[in-house]
Amino acid sequence: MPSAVASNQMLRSRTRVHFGPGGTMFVVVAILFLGVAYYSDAPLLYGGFGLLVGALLVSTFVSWQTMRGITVIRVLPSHGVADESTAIRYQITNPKRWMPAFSLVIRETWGKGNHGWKKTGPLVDEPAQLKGRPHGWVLHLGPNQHVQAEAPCWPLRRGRLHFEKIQIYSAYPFGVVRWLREFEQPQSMLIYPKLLRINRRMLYHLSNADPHGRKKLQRAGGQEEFFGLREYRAGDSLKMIDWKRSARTTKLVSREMTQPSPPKITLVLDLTSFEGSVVKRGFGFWQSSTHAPSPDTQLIEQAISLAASLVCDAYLHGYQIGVTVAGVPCVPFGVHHSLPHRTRILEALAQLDLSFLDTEAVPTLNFIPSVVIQAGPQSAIVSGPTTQVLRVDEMTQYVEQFKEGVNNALSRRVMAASHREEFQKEKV
Amino acid sequence: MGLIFLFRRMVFAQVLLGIVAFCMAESNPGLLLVAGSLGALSWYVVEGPTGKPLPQWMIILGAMIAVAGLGFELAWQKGQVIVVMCHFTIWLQILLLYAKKDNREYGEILVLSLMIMTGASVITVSMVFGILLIVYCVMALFTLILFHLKATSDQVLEANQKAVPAEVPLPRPKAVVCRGHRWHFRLFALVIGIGCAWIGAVVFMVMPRSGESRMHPTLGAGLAGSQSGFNSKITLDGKPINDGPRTPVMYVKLEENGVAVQGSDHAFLLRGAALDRYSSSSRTWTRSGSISRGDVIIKLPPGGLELLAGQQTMPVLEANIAIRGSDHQHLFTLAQYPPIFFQSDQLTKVVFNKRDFQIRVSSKFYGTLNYSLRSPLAFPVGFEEAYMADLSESAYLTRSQEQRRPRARKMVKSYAAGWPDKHQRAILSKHTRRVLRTQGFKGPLKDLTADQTLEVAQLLSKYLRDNFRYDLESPSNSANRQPISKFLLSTKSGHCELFASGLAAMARSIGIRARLITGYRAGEYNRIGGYYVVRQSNAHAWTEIYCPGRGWLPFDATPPDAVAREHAAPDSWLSGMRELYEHMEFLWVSKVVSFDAKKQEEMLKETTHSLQAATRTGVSRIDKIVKWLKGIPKMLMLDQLSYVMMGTIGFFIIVGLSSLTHSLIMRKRRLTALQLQRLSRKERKALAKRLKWYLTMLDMLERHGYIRPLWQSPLDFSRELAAANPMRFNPVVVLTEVFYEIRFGQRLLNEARNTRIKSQMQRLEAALARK
Repeated sequence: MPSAVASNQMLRSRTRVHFGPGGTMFVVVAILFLGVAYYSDAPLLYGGFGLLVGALLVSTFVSWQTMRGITVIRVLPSHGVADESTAIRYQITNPKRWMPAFSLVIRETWGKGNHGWKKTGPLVDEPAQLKGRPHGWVLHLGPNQHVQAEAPCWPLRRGRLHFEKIQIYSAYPFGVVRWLREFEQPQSMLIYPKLLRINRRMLYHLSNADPHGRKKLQRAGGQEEFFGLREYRAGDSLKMIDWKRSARTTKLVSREMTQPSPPKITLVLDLTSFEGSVVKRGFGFWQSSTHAPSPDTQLIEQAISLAASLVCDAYLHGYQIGVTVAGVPCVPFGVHHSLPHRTRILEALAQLDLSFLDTEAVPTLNFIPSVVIQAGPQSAIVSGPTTQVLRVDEMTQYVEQFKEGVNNALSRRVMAASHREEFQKEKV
Repeated sequence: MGLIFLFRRMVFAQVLLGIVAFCMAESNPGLLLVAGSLGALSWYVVEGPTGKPLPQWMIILGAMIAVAGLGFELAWQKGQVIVVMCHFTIWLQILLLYAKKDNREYGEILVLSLMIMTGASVITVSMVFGILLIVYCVMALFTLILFHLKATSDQVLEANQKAVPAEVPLPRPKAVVCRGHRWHFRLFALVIGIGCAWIGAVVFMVMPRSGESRMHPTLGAGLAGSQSGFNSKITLDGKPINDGPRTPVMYVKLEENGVAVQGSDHAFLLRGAALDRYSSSSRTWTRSGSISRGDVIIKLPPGGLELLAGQQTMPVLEANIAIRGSDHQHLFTLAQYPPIFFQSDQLTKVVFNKRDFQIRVSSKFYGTLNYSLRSPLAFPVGFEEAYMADLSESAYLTRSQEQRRPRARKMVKSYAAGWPDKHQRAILSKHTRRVLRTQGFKGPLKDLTADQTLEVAQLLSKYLRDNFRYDLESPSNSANRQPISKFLLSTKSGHCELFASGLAAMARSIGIRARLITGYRAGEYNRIGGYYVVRQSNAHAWTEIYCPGRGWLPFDATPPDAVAREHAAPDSWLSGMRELYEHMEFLWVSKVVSFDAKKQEEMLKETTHSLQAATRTGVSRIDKIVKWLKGIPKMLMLDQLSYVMMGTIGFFIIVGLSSLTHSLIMRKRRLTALQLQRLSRKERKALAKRLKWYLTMLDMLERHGYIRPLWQSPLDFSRELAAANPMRFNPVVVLTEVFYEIRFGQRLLNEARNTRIKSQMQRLEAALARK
C-alpha cells in the first residue's frame, strides 16, 4: 500500500528566494551593460540595459507567481530494495486559476532541527543510505491541474529510509531568481536487503537435499496418482469408491490419491558465526538511516542479502521456505509458501537490528536445517549430513554475476532504457 | 530531445543573426561573407548527421590565430578598438560553434553574441540594425527560456546520476507536461516578452543620461569611416565628392516664420567647411593654419547661444537638423542665411571661428546629433561687424582676443587672397578680364566697390554656368598643368569642385577674396515626414566671395539644372515606399537613437502635465456629477415622503441586486461542486435536485475545516480523508460512491439509496462531532 500524506493541511511549507550563480551572472552583465551605455551614451544600450532590468523583474515576478500556492505530496512505494532504483513519486498541485507553472524541480532534503524544521531540536542529516538527493522535474503544470513526477532513488543498504522535507523550486523563465518552497513531510520507506541473482543450480541442490523427500512429497488428498485405500467416509466422491474391493469386503472402500507437495527449505541465518565486532549504539541504531554500517558488518549484510535472495528465489520457484535467524532477535518463520509469507520474511530481514547481535546466543533447533548461511567461518548450529552450509566469503559460487558491480533486474531495465535512447539518437 | 535540439538551433540562429547585424552595422560585406559562411558551415560540421566537434587542439590553434589577428588589426591596420574587439569576438564565437559544447560553452557563446550586439549598437544608428536588434531580442527571449529548461534538465540528470552508481547511466528526465502546455508556453513567452519590453521601455525613458559620450577617440576613431561624401579638404585630382552612395546623413526641417518650408522646389546649401588655401603642388584646397588658430571654444548656455543679439524680432528661418554620426566634426549651417542663434541639448560647447563662420563640435560624436539654427531672412547693414559682438570675452576658453589682435589684423590682409603660382595667376587674370569684358563689365577692376564686386562675382558665375559643362568624370591628371587652368582654359567641363575652384581662382586673380565651401546641397523633400533628406551623394562645393560691407556671400557656379538632375531622387513606383522607409528611419534616429537628456526631460514633463491634466479633468467631472446629484431634488421638486419612498425603493433594489448576485455566485459554486457545469440546463436541474445531499455533506465537512479544493475530484477528496482517518471518514467514501453512481452512473435516487445516504450522513455527523 502506498503511503501518502492525506491532506494538504498537514503540510507545513516555507518559501525562500535564492539568487544563485545565474542571477549573479545576470546582474554582472546588466551592470556592465549600464557601464558601457553610460560611457558611450549610446541610447540603444540604455534600451538594452532596460531589457535586462525588465528580464530581471519579470523573472522574479513569474517565478514568484509560479510557486504561489503550489503544493507537493510525496507518494512512497511500499518498499524499496537495496542497490536498486526505486521511483519516488510526487503529486504536485497547482491550485491557481490562470497561472501555469513551468520547470518545477522537486528534491528531497534533510536538515537540522526537529525533523529539520525548527532551529532547535535533534539533528537529522542526510541519510547514509543514499548517495545523493533524489530529484524530479516537471516541465509544465497547468492551472487547476495536478501531475505526478518521479524521482529515482537508489538506496545503498537495507533498513528504514527516512524522508523529511520536500523542496520544490522554479527559476523560470531565465534562471535568475529561484523561488523555493519547502514542505515538511516526514515519512519512511522500508528497504529490503540487496537481492542477488542466485545460481540456478544452487536452488536445485538445496531442494535435492530436502530430508523429507525429493522434489515432491506424496500425500493423500490430491487428484494425482493412486495412494491407497481406506474406509468410505461420508462426503467422499462416488467416483473414488473402489467397487471391487467394496464388493469383496462388503464395506465401502474409497481410493485415496496423492497430492503434490513442493520441496521445503529450512534456512538458518547464522549470525553467531560472525567473528568481527559490532559497535552497539543503543536501540534503534541500526534502523536509523543516518549511520552507515561499519566495514566489519559487511559480511553480516552479505549473509542477510543471500538469505533474502534465497527467500525470493524459493518463492519464485514454488518452494516452501522457513527462516530462522540466529544471533539477533527475530521471529522464526515456519515453512510456508505464499507472497505475504515472503514479504514478512523480507521485512524482518530488512529490519534486523545488529545492535542486538549476540554471538553467544546459539539457538536450539528442533529441526535439521536444510541450509545454513554463515556470516563467519565457524558455526555452532547443529546440522545434519544433508545440510548445505553457505559461507558468505565463498558467496561468488552461489551468485551469478550479471555485470560487474550491477546485479539486479531494475538496473538492467535502466540500462535497457539508456540503450534504447542511444539507439534512437543514432537513428536520428 | 526535442527541447535540446530546438535550443541548439536557436543558439545557432542567434549567433548568425548577431554576426549579420554586426556586419551590417560595420558595412563590411567581406566579413559577412567569411564569418557568415564559417558560422553556417559549423552546423553541418558539428551538428550534421555525421558531424562531430573539432578536436581541442584545433580550437586552441584557432584561438591563437584570432589573438594574432587582433594584434595585427590593432597594431598594423590601426583599426578602431571597438570594431577590432568585435571582430575578435566573432572569431571566438565561431570557434566555440565548432567546439564540443556544454552548458558553459553555450553560455559563453550567448554572452559573446551579446557583446557583439553591444559593439554594433555603439557604431551604428541604422534602422535596419534596429530591426535586427529587435529580432535578436525576441530570439534571445526564446533562447534564454530554452537554455534555462535545458540547464534545469541537465541539473536534475546530474543530481540523479550522482545518486546512482557510476556504471548505471540514467536517461534524461522525462519532460512531464499537462494538457495545453504548448499553448501555455507560447502565451507566457509572449507575456514575458511584452513585460520585458515594457519595463525596458520605461527604463530607457527614465534612465538618467550622461549627456555626452566619454569614449576616447581611439576607441571608435572613424567608426562611420568615410560615410559622408563631405570632406574638410578637396583634392582636385581625386574623385568628385558627390560620387558617394545615397545613404542619408542629415535630416533638415525648415520653418519660415513658423511656417514649414516644404517641397522639392526649394534647394538650399548646407555649409560645412571653409577652405581658403590652395596648394598648387598637392592641388588641394585646405583651411589655413592661421585660421584654425582662431578657433574658440564656446560654452553653450542652457537656453542656446545667441550669436547676434537684438535681432529676434526680425523674420527668421529656423532649421532643425539631425545629423548622423560621421568621422568629421563639422556642423552644418544654411549657406545663404548665416545663423544668429544656435541650440543643441546634446552639446555643452562648440568650436567656432568668426572668420570663416565654421562651427564644429569639440569632440567626435557617435549616433546622432540634433541642433537647431535660427537665421534672419534679411540682414542689417554691418552684420559682419555685429555678428560676434555679443560673444563675451569670458566665453573664450583659449587665449584672449586682445592678445591675438595684432597678428589677426596682419593675417586678415592675406586671407583668402592671391594665388600660389604667379605665372598661373597672370594667365588667369588675363583670362578673367577677357571674360568680364565679354560679359559686359566695363568698370575698372581695381578698388572695386561692394556693388562692383557683387556684379563681378555674378558675371563670373554666370559665365561658368552658361559656358561650362557639368561632368562627374574626373579630369585626367597632368603633371605640368594645374586642374583649375585646364578646366578654365581647355576642357571646360568638370564637377562641382572644379566649378567652385574655377570661380575662386578667377576672382582671386583680379584681387577679389574668395574661398571654397564644402557642404551639401539639399533639395529632396520627404512628403511623409515633412523634412529634407540630405544624402552622401548630395555633397557639394561652391564659392564664397567677399563683398566689402556685405561680408562673405555664396556663389554657386555649377550649372544648377545639372546638379539638380544629379541629386534628384530616382522617380519610380518605389519612391513612395522609399520615402516611407526613410521616414521610419528618421523616426528611429530621432526618437530612439537620439533620445537624449533633453528629450527625456521633455517627455517626463509632458507625462507629468498629462497626468495633472487628467487628474484635473477627473476632479472636475466628479464635481459636475456631485452638483448634478445635488440638483436632482430641485429638478424633481420632491417632498420628505417622496425621499423616504425613494430611499426605500433604492434600498430594496440594492438588496435585490445583492441577493441576485449572491445567488448567481452560489449557484455557480454548487454546479462546480457537483460537477454539472457542462451539462444541459435540463439535465443540470434534474441532477442538482438528486445530488442536493452531497452539498450538505460538503457543508458539514467544511464546518469542521475539511474543504475540497476545486481542482480535486470528489473521489480523491474522499480517499485523502479516509487515508488520514479511516474510522472517521469512511461515510464520506460511501457517500462519494453514491454520488458517482447518481452523477455519472445515471442511477436514480431511490428509497434504498435515500436510506443509505441518510444513515451515512448520520454516521458522519456523529463522527465529526467526536473530537
